[in-house]
Amino acid sequence: MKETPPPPANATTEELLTQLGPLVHLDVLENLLNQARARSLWPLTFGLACCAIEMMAAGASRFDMDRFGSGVFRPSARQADVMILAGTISRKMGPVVKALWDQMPSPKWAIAMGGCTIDGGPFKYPGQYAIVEGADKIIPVDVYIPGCPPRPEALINGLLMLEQKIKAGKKFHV
Amino acid sequence: MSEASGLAAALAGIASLKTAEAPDAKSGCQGLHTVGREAIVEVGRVFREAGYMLEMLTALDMRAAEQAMHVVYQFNRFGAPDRHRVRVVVPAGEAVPSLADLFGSANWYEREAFDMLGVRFDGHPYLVRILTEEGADYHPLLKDFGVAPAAAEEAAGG
Repeated sequence: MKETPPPPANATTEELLTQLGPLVHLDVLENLLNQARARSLWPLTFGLACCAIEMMAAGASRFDMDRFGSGVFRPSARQADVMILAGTISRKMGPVVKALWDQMPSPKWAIAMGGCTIDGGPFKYPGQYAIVEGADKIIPVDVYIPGCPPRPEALINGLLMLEQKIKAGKKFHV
Repeated sequence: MSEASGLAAALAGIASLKTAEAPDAKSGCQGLHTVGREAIVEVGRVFREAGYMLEMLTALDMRAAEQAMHVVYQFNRFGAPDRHRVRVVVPAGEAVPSLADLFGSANWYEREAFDMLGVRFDGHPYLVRILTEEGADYHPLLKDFGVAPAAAEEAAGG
């Protein structure tokens, strides 16, 4: 702990508080929780298109997302921490994805996996009627993973980046 | 063999059915037929009773050339392949009798043709859109379909 010079005798309360910092540190608990959250990200079990095949490969034994605590796919949105948007979001599916996101309890995070969820990817053209052009049109996205589809290593890298983001302790999450 | 000739005889009994002279080798169709829309249920029943399945159902937008939509049915069977394509010409904006009671597969095919091209099917048990978003008010495979309405994007949650 670093030494702080004693405050001047005529300092106001406000100056005192500024110099001494917060009297109660809730950060310690929050940081501890963030360490736990980052190391046990539970994704929601759902895939939208071909990226989901790579996501399943990442979860299976060869790549084994469980090494990073992220392999516990939850079948209920109520138990999930992270939504991996793996595949094209059709306009018909858009409201369903939004409903799933709303059902997830905070804190929660979203990973956009693949070109389709970044901006519509190969299905984007002026006047298209079929898809949502990017997952961030529906829900807030934390990590974007480019690729068509991204390899399992890329998904794992994305999860590790999300872990860094959570451990940084800022109020990123919704 | 007797099955096939029975089918030909039954088809010959339908007054408005015209059969092309040559089969279409490129698409593997042994028979190409055109029929009036009032007789399509009868044609479906003939194929159904001969043990055929409804392989495909779609529609074509021919409004520019002849102010009509074409509804195309393709029947096939297991075993020796014998594919028949039946075409119904429908004046634009009018309905076609549904085959959903005869073939289970017609249910979703007809919903798709309605969704994509706006063809209505009389007697369909549940003729609502199947692929496009809820609340859509366009038929995207029509030739004059331009740009999807911006409102549609908002409806998708944007």
